[in-house]
Amino acid sequence: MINSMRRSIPSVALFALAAAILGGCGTPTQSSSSVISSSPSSSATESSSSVSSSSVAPDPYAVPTDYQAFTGDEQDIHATVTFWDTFGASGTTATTATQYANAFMALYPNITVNLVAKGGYPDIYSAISTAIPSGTTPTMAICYPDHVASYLDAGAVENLAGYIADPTIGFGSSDLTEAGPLSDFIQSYLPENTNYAQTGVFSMPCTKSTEAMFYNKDLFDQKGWDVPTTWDEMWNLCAQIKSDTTIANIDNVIPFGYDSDDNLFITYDQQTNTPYTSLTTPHYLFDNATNRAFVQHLKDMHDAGYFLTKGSSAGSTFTSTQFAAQTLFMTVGSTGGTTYNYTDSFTTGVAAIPQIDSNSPSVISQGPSVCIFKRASQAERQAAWLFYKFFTNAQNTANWASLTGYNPVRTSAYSTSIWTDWESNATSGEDLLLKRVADFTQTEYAEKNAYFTSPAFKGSSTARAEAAGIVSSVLLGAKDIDTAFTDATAACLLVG
Amino acid sequence: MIKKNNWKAWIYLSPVIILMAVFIFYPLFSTIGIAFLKDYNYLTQTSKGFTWENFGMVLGLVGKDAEGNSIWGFGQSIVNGVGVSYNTYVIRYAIPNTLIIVFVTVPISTVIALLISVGLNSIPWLKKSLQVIFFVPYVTNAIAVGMVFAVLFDYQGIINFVLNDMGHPWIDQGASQTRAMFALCVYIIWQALPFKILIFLSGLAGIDKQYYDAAKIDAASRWNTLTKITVPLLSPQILYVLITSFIGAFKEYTSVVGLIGGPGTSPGSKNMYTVVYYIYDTIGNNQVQYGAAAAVLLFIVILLFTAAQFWISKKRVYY
Amino acid sequence: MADTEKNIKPSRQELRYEAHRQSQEYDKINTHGMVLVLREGTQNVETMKKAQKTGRFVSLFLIYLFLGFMALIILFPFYWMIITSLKSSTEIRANQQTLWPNAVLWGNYITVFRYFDFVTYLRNTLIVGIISTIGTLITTILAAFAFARLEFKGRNAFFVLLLSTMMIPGEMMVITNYITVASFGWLGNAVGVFTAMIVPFWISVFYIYLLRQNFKQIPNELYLAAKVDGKSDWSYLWKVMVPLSEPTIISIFILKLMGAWNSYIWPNLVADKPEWRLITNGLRSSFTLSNGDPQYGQQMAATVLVTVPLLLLFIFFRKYIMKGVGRAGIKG
Repeated sequence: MINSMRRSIPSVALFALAAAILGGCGTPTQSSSSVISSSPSSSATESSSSVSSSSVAPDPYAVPTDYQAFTGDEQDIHATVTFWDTFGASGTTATTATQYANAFMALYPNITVNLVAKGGYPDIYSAISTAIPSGTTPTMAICYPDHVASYLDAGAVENLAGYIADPTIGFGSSDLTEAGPLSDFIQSYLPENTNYAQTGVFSMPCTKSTEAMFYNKDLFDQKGWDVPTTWDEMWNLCAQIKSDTTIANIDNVIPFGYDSDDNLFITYDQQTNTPYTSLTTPHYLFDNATNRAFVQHLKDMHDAGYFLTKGSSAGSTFTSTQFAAQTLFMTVGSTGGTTYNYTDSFTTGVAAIPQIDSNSPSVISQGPSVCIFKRASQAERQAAWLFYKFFTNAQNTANWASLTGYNPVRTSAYSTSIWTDWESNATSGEDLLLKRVADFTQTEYAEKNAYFTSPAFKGSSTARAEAAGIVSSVLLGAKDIDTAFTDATAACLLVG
Repeated sequence: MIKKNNWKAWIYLSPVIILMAVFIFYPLFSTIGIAFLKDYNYLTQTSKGFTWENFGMVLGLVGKDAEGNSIWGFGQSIVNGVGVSYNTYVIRYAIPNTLIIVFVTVPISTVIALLISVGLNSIPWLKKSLQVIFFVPYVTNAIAVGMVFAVLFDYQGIINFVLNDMGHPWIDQGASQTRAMFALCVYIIWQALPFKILIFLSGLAGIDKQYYDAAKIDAASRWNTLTKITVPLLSPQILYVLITSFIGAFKEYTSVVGLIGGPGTSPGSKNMYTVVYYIYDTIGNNQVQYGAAAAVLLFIVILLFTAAQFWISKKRVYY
Repeated sequence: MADTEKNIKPSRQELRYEAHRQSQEYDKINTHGMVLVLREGTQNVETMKKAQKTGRFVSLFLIYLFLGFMALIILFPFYWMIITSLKSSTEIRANQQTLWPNAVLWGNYITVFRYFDFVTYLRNTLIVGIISTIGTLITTILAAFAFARLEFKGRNAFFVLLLSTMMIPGEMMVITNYITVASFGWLGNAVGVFTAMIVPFWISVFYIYLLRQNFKQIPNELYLAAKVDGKSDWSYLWKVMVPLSEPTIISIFILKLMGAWNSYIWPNLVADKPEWRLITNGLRSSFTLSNGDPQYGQQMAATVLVTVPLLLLFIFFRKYIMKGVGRAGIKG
């Protein structure tokens, strides 16, 4: 090729610059929580494919007509599974994933699992996008719903409904069966995997995170402040803090920070039931009076010195960094980044993110999922499915969560000895904070059914990126409200 | 003699021809073809027929409405989230930025390189070591050094430290396009110097000493020597440098990535786009047809520009 | 008659000398007509000499100052890269930028070595680099010869066509080439992947142009003489032209090797498994925490490790690199 190659064109990460990194969210659609029609997987004809039989929305968990139930012994599957992941080449996630692969291969000597680290989330998206037209897709891969939406467009991903309900290798055989095969999964993690333009289950949760508010507990205790639970309480507290001259260096302190500009926007829409995006055209509904007023209010709060986001911070600094440096007293950030909110200087408290109605909270659920590709042979797909099950079984998902700060995807993970042992040993330092977050998300979020996701379609990642752009550009003063919203809509429309 | 060599020449050229056909011409024609396809989806390799709209889209003359239809027209007209959206990124950012890079960095780096080479050529000591030093940027990785420059131009970096201007961003969030373009141009010029210095140095080595001796006898000033003797005699090299640099500047992309790390200085902004950056982005968005159209337009522009240079050179270059 | 002719047939050594001498003469002859004018001044020799000396001293000082300043600007980023690789994360982001790390942290390098399979990547890069370079040399030599010496119809047109391909941004061709390579079945197996990383790079228009310029400088007389002697083009090419162009060819070899070292996007697309990756791939995907926070210290350390071999190569082969690149613009 030409000498332009010689001068090192940068990483394939740049392929999907417009693609947002984290999964989508928004107004939840049909919340088929724990229901899986346990249709017999044997005779495919009438039962499963009768999608149109009922007059309600088609059931995504219906076993597809062309699904062949697994017969024989699991040990007889001979296959090589190639798993493209984003766990990195080194570090905790990489080593743990390798351990799981090795343990799995010990259980199934006839199956080989190859983990291939593909960089970050944009990298893997572009790698798979290139692999699809050239027919070189792997067996399974880490993905986000936004990514899967476009893989689905190309007809490249496998509908996993059949595997879920399979009596031998599905969830129907092991785990809890009373309430349905997927009952052991944390229910809020399921809807996004069916929230696609086509009917079916095209991804399964791998590891999940959410957002929590971290606050300077020592300071709050000392000052006798109440932890705010609603937005109104939050702004009142900020005003109170800012006018408290007894706090050292108060002029340089911002009381409240929100790490992810896009999550801020999207979560607010969820909490107030304001339109954000939709699976059907017109897709982009976020330009409306409520949102404009909200962003204007955020700007007022920002200008008053109460509030900032990562997108409006100098140098795009993480709010967790500012929190640890005590220039922020409260920060909302991903639970996957919990350890960054830990510092020896003070105790970090954990609370729910501000809500509109604290009795029915809404908080976003994020984190990668797994999808399996159609191009693989049947044996390979079955082997990949088995590996997925192994990866996310109670012990392994509990172990993963305890090491990385992400959430387990199974409720039974919380009762495993790995988890309980870790919890009882997590008495100080970072571990204690991780434990607090884990307990907190379970009681305050999971049990209150607070998680939500947005529809995933061709432009959903652009919508998310543009939402972030609106917030940060208005807060920075780079654009006025009208321009920001118009530009964002324009950019989304261009994607189609 | 001429005819006899025909087939032999083609045999000598056959490896080149085959490789180019497969890896350059075939993708090239495929890309040109894609530029004319409507709604090309490269994941499924399907499209909806022949159209000119991709070119229009790139130039901001075709827009999309909420239903996804393409409409010829001009000017943004979105009110309250409803309307037709035109791709203004290319017209507002990509084209102006690219033109700035072309017309600012190339002349400046060429002049600086010329001065350095002439300087190097006239010093008696340390010539070789300085030559080595000036060539070092050429052997490095563009992205890696871009990251280093990003650290230098950090809002709390060493450059602001020296200017006593800490906190004023050059390329980070909230940086104005002017400041970011300034940093970018500095980086590009820095990168471009070694190659030019090298070419000029070897060109200078080929200039006969007789000219300089004659000039000395004439008591010509240093300036006159430079402009009336050195530069004209160096004109073949200058032409070569200008042509290759202009082409490279039109295609500038890696420097933006290395330095800015993204298409803009604030999230969602695309104010640091260049034309090739835009092309690359379209690949990631499954909008390959727009990128293809932009690439075709870019190629035509570069071709015309280079042809113009050759035409001008006929009068100004002395062999 | 035939005997005397045979006796005075020049040896290869003499041919070479002859070519050299002739090219020098060409240089000498090929100048524009000059008119020498002597002007009488009003100064005597001594004042003139003194003025000249001070003037020369001052200008020399200014030149050194200028060059020194520019050299500092050139070198500073490298210096910064090295010291950043020795700093801790907090110090890199500190408010007070330090010109020398407060605590020299070799730990970054240790991390890089531990997690970074340097040897494998090095081996892969060398394999790809050397084989693709040799392939390029062969195709380049053949093509440059055809353009420089052989007369054939459409020679100029084709050459212009070749040059014009330099104006195309490579990004547009990457996807199609990936699909092509996949359809050849080169992906997924070791031999195939290496082939995919090597073969598309066996042509370089830039080097063809370079070598053609070089070949053109070798006087046509030699060629005609060889033809008269009944030598074939092939033997002329390999026995005369190539040895005469040795410096340029070595330069191409080294430059191409450097290119392979720095190449990133294509090997990243094509080399799936870690054991096939090249050195830049391994670098880029490492050292970024899962939340996207790049570890500058480690990245810089890895960058230093990747840059140093190139620098060493450059220092030892400087002469060839600089000579080779320099010849490009001599006779347009």
